[in-house]
This record gives sequence, structure tokens and C-alpha cells, in this order.
Amino acid sequence: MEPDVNMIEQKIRLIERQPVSWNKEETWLRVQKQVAPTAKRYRVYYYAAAVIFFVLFGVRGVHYLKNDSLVNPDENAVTEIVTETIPSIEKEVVQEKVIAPEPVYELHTEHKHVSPMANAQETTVLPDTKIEIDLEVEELLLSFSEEVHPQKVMPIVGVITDPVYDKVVNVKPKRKKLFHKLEPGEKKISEDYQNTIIIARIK
Amino acid sequence: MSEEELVRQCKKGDAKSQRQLFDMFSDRFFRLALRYVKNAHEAEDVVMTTFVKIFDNLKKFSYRDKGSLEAWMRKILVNEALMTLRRRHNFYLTETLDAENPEHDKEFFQDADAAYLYQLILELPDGYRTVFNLFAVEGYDHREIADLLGITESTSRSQLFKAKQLLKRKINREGLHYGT
Repeated sequence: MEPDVNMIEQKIRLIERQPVSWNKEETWLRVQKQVAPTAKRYRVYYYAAAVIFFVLFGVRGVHYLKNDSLVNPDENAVTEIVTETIPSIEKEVVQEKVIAPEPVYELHTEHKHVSPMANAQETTVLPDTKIEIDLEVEELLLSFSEEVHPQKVMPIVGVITDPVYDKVVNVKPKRKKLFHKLEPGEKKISEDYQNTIIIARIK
Repeated sequence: MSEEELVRQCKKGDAKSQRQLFDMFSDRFFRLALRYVKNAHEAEDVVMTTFVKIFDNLKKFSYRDKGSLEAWMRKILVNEALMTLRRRHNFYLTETLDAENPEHDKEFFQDADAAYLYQLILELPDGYRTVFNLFAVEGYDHREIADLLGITESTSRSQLFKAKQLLKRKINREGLHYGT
């Protein structure tokens, strides 16, 4: 470092330590405004992260608790879950009635266990109930909504070949005389009746 | 409250301690910023930005001795002042090769009045003033100045030489040489 540098530095630093008039308060307020939002911003981030954490892991925790209670049947736990799930099933039934007409249920008698399940099954929960019902309703709706598309039967146009024509032409109604009048036979029947053939036809 | 305790409280976000730290250093920092940017409003902006950065980054600072806090804060302020200067589009530094005589400089600045010297520094052009401030007051060497300003070391030397020449000329013209 050059020899004059220390001397200049000391002089300037001495001047800088003297009080000076400037907008100190205003600058401080601006500093506060800048610093406070930064701290608040970080606080907001922390809270948001905490909320997301509890939402994610809290929901999963409840799910695991439910599963545990179903695996290890505790009577109280099971009844609580059942009381929670039954209203949702009833709602599904109401929606089902709105969507599908009543004759649909009468037609499909083999699936009758589906619709009364909400009323009958009070102790078990079938998670896929809604999916089954929806599929049935869709099938029935399809069967009812089938439309018949009439098609005109077109005549078969063709050429009759000669042999066929000949056969057709040659076919003439043969009128057979099925009934013959019995002619009076000989009045005298030969005595040799053993060798006589009697020809007769029954009417 | 000691400086170390003040730093500890500021790290915790204590508003009173932050205000105390601001009161301790803001005046001298305003003068320091003014020495670089020469404009009072810009100097206030530099001080404001500097303290915001100080409070935001104080957790990274480790207190060693009494002068360490001020040195750390001064570095932040000088960087902010240089950034303000760079935002001005007329901040150019050019290199001119001239010789200088340090011994003569020592005699020349020894008896100059401090307040007047400060005023003369403010009147220097931006480039000269910046290099002079960094070298003669802040204690950076030419390599550090070259890194800070993105110039060559020779340019830094040239700017310093010209700054000193101009200061001498001003002092001679005003007749204040040797404290007269």
C-alpha cells in the first residue's frame, strides 16, 4: 500500500464519523418496510408448508387409522365408520332413483341385492357400490333406449336361366283322376271265385 | 449493549436492536455512499438497500472482533454503491499510461484539510472518484479493484493516477496546499 493511502483513509474516515443531516428517519422507515415483508413472507411460507404437511399427512393418518380399525375390529370404531358411510350410500341411492326409472329395477331381478343394499347392509361397507350401480343403470338405459331402424326389403332381381325356365314351363298341372266310378261288374260272378280278383275302390 | 450482543439480537429479528444498529452506522454510511454516488437521493437509496441486505444476511455473519462488523457492512455498502454506479450508463473507465510519484503524493495530501479533501473527492469524475475511493480510502489493491469494476489492473492504476493529479491541481488552484 502506498504511503499516502493510510493518511487519506484516516482523514476521510474522520470526516465520515461527523454527524450529517439527511433523511435518516425516512430511510429507516423504508428499511423497515423492506425488512418486515421479508420476514412476513418467510413466515407465510412456513405456515403454508405446515398446513400442507398436516393436510397431506393428516389425511393419510386418518386413512391408516380407519384401515387399522377395520383390520382389528374394535366395535366402537366399526360402528363409527358405519354411521359415517351409510348416509353417503343413501345419497347414492337417491341419485340412482333420479337417474334410472323404476321399471329398470323390476326387470333386473338378479341384481336386486344392489338397490336394497343401502337399507339392508348396515354392518358392512362396499366401497365399489356406486360403480356397480352406475354400470347397471347404464346397461339398462341402453336396452331401453335401443331404437329400431326399419329397413326396406328390396326385391331380388335376377334372370331365370333356360334349364330352369324349361322346368318351369314343363311343369303342368297334372290332373289325376283320383276317383273312378266303379263300373258295374259282371253280373255273374264266376263260380271260380277263388281266382277272381275283386277290384273295388272305396270312396 | 455490546456490538456482539447487538448482532445477536438483530439476528433474532429484534426491531429495537435493528434500529440501534442503524443509528450507529447510518450517518457514516450515508457519507460513504455519497462519496461514491455523489447524489444525496441515490446515497439514501444505497444506505437503505444496504441495511435491508445487512438484516437479511446477518445470520451468515460471524462476529470475530470489534471491527469485523463494520468491515462486513462497509463491503456490502460499497458493492451497492458500485451497482448504483453501473446502472448509470455513463460509467466508463479508460486506460492512459502515465507515471506517478508516491513520495510527492504523500507530501501533497499530508497537510490537506480533511473536509476540503472530502469535498474535492466528491468533485472528481465518476471513474476517478470510484477508483480513488476504493484504493485510497477502502484499502483495496488494484487487482481487487479490477475484479470489482470489471477492468484491467492497468486501467485501475491509470484512473488512480489521474484522480490524484486532478486533486493536486484543484488544491493548487484553490491555494489550500499545505493547509493554507
